[in-house]
Amino acid sequence: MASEPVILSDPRMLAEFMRQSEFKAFFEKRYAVPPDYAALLFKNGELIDAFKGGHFSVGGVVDKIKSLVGGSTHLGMMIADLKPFSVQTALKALSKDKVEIAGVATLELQVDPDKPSNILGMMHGVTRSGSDPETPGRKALSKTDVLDRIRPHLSDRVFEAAISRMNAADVRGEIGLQDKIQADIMLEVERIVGDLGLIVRAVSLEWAINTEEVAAMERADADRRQDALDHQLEIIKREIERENDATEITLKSQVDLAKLQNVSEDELKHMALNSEIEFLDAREGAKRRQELEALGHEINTLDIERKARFDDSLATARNDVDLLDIRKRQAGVERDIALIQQSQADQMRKSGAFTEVEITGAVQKQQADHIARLQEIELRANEAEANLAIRLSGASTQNEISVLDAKARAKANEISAFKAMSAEQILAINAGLSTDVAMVLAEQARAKGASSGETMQAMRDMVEAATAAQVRSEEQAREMFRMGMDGAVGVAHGAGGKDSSAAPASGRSSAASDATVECSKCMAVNLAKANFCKQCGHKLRT
Amino acid sequence: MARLTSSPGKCCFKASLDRDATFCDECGAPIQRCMATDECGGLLDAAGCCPVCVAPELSLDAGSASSIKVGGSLALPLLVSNNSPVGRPLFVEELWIKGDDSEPRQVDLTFQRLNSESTAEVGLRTGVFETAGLHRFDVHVVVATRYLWREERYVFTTAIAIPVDPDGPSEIVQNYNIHADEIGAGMTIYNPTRIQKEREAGIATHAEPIRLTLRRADTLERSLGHRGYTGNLAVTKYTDLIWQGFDPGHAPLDGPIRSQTGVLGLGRASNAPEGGMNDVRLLITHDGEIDEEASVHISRRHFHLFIENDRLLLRVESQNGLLLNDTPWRRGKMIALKDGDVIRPLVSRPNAIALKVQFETQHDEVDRIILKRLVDFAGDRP
Repeated sequence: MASEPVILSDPRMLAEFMRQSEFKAFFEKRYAVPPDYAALLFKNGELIDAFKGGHFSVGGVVDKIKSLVGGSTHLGMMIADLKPFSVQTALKALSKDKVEIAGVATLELQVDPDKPSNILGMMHGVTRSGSDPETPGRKALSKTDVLDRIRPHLSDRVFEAAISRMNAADVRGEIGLQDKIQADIMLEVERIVGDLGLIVRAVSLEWAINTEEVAAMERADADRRQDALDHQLEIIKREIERENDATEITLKSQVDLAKLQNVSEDELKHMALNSEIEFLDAREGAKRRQELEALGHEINTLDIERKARFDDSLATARNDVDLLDIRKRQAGVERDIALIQQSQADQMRKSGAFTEVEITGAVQKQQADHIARLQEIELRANEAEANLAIRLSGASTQNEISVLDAKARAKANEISAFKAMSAEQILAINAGLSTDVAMVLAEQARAKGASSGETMQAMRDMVEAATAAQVRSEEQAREMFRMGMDGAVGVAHGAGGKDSSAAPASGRSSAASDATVECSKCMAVNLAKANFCKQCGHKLRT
Repeated sequence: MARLTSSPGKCCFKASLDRDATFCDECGAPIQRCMATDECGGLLDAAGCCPVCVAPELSLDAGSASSIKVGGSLALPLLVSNNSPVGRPLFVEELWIKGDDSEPRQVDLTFQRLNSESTAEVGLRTGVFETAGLHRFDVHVVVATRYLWREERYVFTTAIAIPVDPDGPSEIVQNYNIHADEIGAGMTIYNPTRIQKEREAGIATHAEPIRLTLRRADTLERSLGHRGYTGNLAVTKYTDLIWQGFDPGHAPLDGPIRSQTGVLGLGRASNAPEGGMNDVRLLITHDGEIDEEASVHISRRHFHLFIENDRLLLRVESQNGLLLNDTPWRRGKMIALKDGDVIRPLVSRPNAIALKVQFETQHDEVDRIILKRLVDFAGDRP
């Protein structure tokens, strides 16, 4: 079922009663009160219930009505608009400087949603007949009614009181004033209709132009006009000046042209010549300046050179002076020497002992004696040296002779000694060992070897060992054997080898050169410095 | 015996300049010259290898993939180089790859001779990686150095570790195998995804080939049969040769082979010290008297004895050949001598003269080899 909205019959209305006749079709229709309206329900003139704002729905109202309908009761319902609404009122007041201030105050009002039923207090129970064209024949409260109720309280208590404190020129744009008026209006409205379910939300004021402002405007306008006129005047002045200048130049050039046109050819030539002369003058001037600069530079250079030359000659002169002084001193000294010599000669002559010739002769004799003495000394020294050399050579010859003699005697002794020696001993002695050592070795060899060949072999080994060990005496030889060094293997060292051309099987010889050594095992000839035999690896050094 | 160091000392090199020297006169170590000493002037180290002649180098080529995902396989570009500084060629005999638990697999080689300072490329194909984690491959390379008819083989080994990533669905790994033989670049594996990732992670990709460290694998040398005897026995250059039954001056001193070339010549001609050509003189003598009629059948140089690849070898030089035990061998044949072998130089009169070989061993090395000359012995068993 479609709902029929229950709304105010006119937008200018604030609250309105619905008549019972309008409920005729109540049970056939479904009514709905919008949420921005308040619905007040009356029964027999008594307020039964109020549904406000969005808190109620038609269903609730309908149910309530349904429960009430029945019997012969008078039912009524008022609806009130809960939306804020604005009303405007004109105001007039005198400012502090006694200027009439006019304006329009806009008030934002609203039925108090918390107590909408109090709005009844504003209605005075007026029943509007259908005669009033603006209001349909319903008991209602319009927004104009509300303004009419509060307007008288505002004019003097609020507007006059506030504006009279300000000058007319300061009213416009003064937010402080607006705030004060708003606050005052709120207080006033609260005082008047606060308990009648009406509240003021905001107040704003719009001022009309007051006379003071008008005067200011006119003044400002006049100033602007004056400025514009001044500006215009200035422009005109400049234009006139420019025109004047241009005219002057034009006139001047016209005059010049006329002059040029009027001059003769000679005059023209003269003018050109003048111009050329000016140019040449300028060029000459520059040239002269350059020349002058060059001249100045040259003068400077000459000045410096001269100064240097002067310094140089000054130094030379000083040097010459010094040299002169030295020569003078030298001449003085020479003179002094000559004087001394002269005086000496004079003294000698005075003495009369020797004539000049005698003196000279004496000196020469003295010199000759001296030379002769020196030569004699030298001669004697040479003689002594020669004698010494002769004696030395004689001594060395004698020495050599005695050495040879001793050797020969030793050899003879050796040979005679060999007579009593065995082959082993001879071998040892040939190897450079002493007879004592040879004897010890021979004993040992004989003790070791069964056959003569083995004895000789053992002897060879031992001789090498003894030579290597540098055995010099019998004690040493015996010590060597005592320490178990009887094995010749591995100790042959330094006893000399034999010539490398000799075959290994050709026997050994102690007369080999010192640089080589023969391996006792393989008879290969090795360098004396070798640690091992290069042929068999046998160790050559202990 | 003098010391054995891993590499010869300076003094040994100095001493080796004397061609007659067989021992260093300063430290006493035997001078073991390389068989190609005339070319390289090198000495053998304690392991019997000449570092001048044998200088192989393995490296992974630049830009090769260094990891892979589960389920993938790689072909690693391997560079084999000969770094010999004296122009000695190296012969790459075999290349083996061995996975984690798999058997070693031989890689087919398309080249053998590597001249000095040259490089060859080999593609090593791995199997499919079944599991994630770090997988390791051992690469064995068998190289040989040769001089005249002699050859020494060595086995070197190295390892390559390849991280195998779990198979993640979020990432697709693409490896491109690029065959660029036409431009001389061989085969290159290119993994742009990984390279990009490594670049982003700040890891430098190997723009240079990665050099792999090679180690001598002596066990492998024997197990693969390149050096030593079966039964894990080796005759080293330092094994002493003991000469028995020879007339004085006919045999060298006991000890390692000390001739400059490392080869002993045996025959009828006189020995080197006497101006001859041999190191061991073989003559048939009776009580010191030379049986010239019988001895004339022995060639002047009948055979050579030398140690090669940790074996005592015999090379027949005589036109008439010889008998080893009872087997005849012609000239030019080389036979490895074993313990108990009997060399019979005269094929026509096997019992006239013989050389019996006996090994005395210590652990897996032959300590001494006794070479006993037998003359006019009766019967088949000397």
